[in-house]
Amino acid sequence: MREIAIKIGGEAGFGIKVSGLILARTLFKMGFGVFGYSEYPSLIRGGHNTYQINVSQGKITSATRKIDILIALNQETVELHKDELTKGSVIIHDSLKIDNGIKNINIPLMELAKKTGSALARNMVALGAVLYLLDAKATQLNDGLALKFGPKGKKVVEMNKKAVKLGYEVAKKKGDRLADSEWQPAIEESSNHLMTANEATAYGMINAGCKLYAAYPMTPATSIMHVLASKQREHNFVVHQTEDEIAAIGAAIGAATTGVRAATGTSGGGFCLMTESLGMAAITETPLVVINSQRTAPATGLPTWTEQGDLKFMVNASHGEFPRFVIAPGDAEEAFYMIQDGFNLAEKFQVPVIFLMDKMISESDFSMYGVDNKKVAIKREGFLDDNEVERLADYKRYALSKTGISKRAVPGQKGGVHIINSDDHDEYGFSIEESRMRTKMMDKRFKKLKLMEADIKEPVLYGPRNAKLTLVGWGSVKGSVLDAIQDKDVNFLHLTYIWPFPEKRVKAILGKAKRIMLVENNKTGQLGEIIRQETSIEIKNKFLKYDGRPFFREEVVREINRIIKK
Amino acid sequence: MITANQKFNTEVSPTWCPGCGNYGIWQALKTALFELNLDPHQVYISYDIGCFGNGTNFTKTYAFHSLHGRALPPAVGAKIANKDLVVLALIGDGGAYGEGVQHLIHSARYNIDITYLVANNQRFSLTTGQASPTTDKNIKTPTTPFGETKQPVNPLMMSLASGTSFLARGFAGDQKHLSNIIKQAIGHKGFSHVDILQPCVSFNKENTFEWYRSVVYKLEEHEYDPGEYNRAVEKSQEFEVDKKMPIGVIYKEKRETYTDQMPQLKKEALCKQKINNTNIF
Repeated sequence: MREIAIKIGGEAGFGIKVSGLILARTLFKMGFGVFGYSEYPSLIRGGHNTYQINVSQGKITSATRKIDILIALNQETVELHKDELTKGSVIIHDSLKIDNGIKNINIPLMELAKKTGSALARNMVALGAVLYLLDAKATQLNDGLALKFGPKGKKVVEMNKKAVKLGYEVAKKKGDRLADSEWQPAIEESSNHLMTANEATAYGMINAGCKLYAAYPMTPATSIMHVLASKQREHNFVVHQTEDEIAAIGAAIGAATTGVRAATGTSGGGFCLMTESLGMAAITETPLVVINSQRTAPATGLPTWTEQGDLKFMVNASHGEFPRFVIAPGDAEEAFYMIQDGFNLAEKFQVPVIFLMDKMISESDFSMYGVDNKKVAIKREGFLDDNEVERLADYKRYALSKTGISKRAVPGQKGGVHIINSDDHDEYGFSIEESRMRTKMMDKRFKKLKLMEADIKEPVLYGPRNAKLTLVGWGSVKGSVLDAIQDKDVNFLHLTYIWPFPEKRVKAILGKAKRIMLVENNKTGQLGEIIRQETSIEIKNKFLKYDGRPFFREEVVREINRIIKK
Repeated sequence: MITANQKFNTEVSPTWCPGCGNYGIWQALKTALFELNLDPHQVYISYDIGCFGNGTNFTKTYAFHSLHGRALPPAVGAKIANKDLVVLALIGDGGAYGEGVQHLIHSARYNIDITYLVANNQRFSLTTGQASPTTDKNIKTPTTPFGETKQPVNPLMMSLASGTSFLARGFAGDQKHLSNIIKQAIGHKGFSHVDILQPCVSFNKENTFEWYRSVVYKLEEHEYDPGEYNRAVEKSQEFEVDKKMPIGVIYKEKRETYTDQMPQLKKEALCKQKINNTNIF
């Protein structure tokens, strides 16, 4: 399988992400496998931004450190990324200083862009050159340009098309093609989509019938809100932008008490503000989905960078004890299906569901294949209909049932009047302080845990069954690890439903594993600690990274080789 | 014929101190709901934590007992999800003007159709009488043993500045008058805020029923038009200026509500819409 990595770098405001996405989508449409990864600082103008596209003849799920084509829109890009170049790599630039020995194509990007009528089009001139290097046609970008610039008018589209063509022609004169005759797309599946896990999550929420998303903007969760806000009228739900995260989770809980599916979303800092109310959802037994897209922490940390630092926090967040789900998808496709399952689980068990992502998957572009809108059916459970409620002589919202789950009457229903109480309460919902009822209510809530354990998706073991080495990780490390273990005698246990903890399966697999290595994007190996707590298995080899960057594929390969040789 | 108490009392008796101002507010609220011909199942009340919040257990409607300062957020969510409910949020001065003050400011700004009743006794009474955001200067409490040094907030001014479309002040010692205000507040389309002067017989020896009676007067008995914003600002500051406390409707305006501007809700309340898998992809 052949693969080429392209990076576009420059100042914020240069249109790095826009042009990167146009190229990524074009290559994806052509049938290549694509993974898009962006890096940017927390500011709007200036600072260094990059968008990297790994494009392959087959499917891929990760970014590499090594790049083949670097589009440098400023000198800083050359200096910061020349270490990522290899012998055959080439820099596309406009009269920058390039060290001797580095292949480069000097194109008057600015001058050519101005010829089309706007200096802004210089990215497009560079993309034209890339198309030539990849042995594609200059017209391949036309659809993408029309899609992006169409709303700005025909003139803008034509201008950009012209810019692409100019870049293509210059490259033709100056450069050798990177791609050879064997460089052909090999993916033929239909119903394909290139999108981030945030976009997929938003789509999943709509497909699950979520009626209220209450949130306060916080990177890297905000694009969920953007997508939902733009689609709320078409699909009849409401995006409520609140004054803060406390109001956001409060509103989501209030909405959920009326019987609708409701959710809130944020990053770690916002989640901290929500924790008191998370317990309120639990004690009132209100179904709720809370999304946390992690970023580098603590406090403000590195606001636009990635980390898996919140796992143990999610498992324990809020004072007191209560059952919850913690679900951590590993890519966009899992995000789409698992968020829908999350709404079903929240409603079935009347518990909070924490949906845990991070900047890496929230903002990276994944290739999705054969997406199925009907795969996760909506299961509405636990409600009493109007007739049932009206006939009840003695409705108990918190009836002490065998399963711990009690049927819900919702506000507006005659005969179901009750208190949804954050004070601990009796079966009707009245506040209590008496010891026996308190114990009974705690036991009632925890009764659900056994059934919840039966409903989680077991972790998947990727790769050969009896491998020399077993990697263990959760959530967003999936993509890099899967690409790294290709053709190796190494397998990977990937956890997505982390709480309740899938103790049996983890014990069974790790108990038999020859060698184990933990892969986590945090400092302390939090999943490793949970595994030890739940299974008594201690993982000694820990591959941990906490510099704000995700695992690049080669790093995982290198570490695997090191451990295997030991 | 059934009475307001028969319709809206639960089997739990109030736990407030004998003589507490909350009894008057409670009675006025039940009377207002009754006179508006509402049934318990049509009403959703979100309560704060505190003495007034303990009313959750005594009043028969759908109720949400929230966290301290957080009576409004669940009420807002419930109203968006089910616009057909009559939604109120009940809270004390500590929660409304301290811990959760941002929710007042922003709910007023959204103009969501919720009635916000604030029992203002100028103390944190459930925690035995500490100074609250409305405690007067120099007052001694367990947390201000040498006298409060901070200036109290003026809740009416704050509410007006935030865009409240209905603002009133009531007095727990005048049930009939208060009940009438609450009726108007519930009837108002938009955010309605009623600050209620509530004597605390256990921890506030300064602002007693007697004292309030000596400073309050009814706006309706004077020529007063609540439609004038500038006059409302003046009335809201009257106590600071000449030690008189107007009670009644201080300000009222017609403004589109938050949910009125959501075409998603035009046909049917969100909670009544059937959900199905979509063709999102």
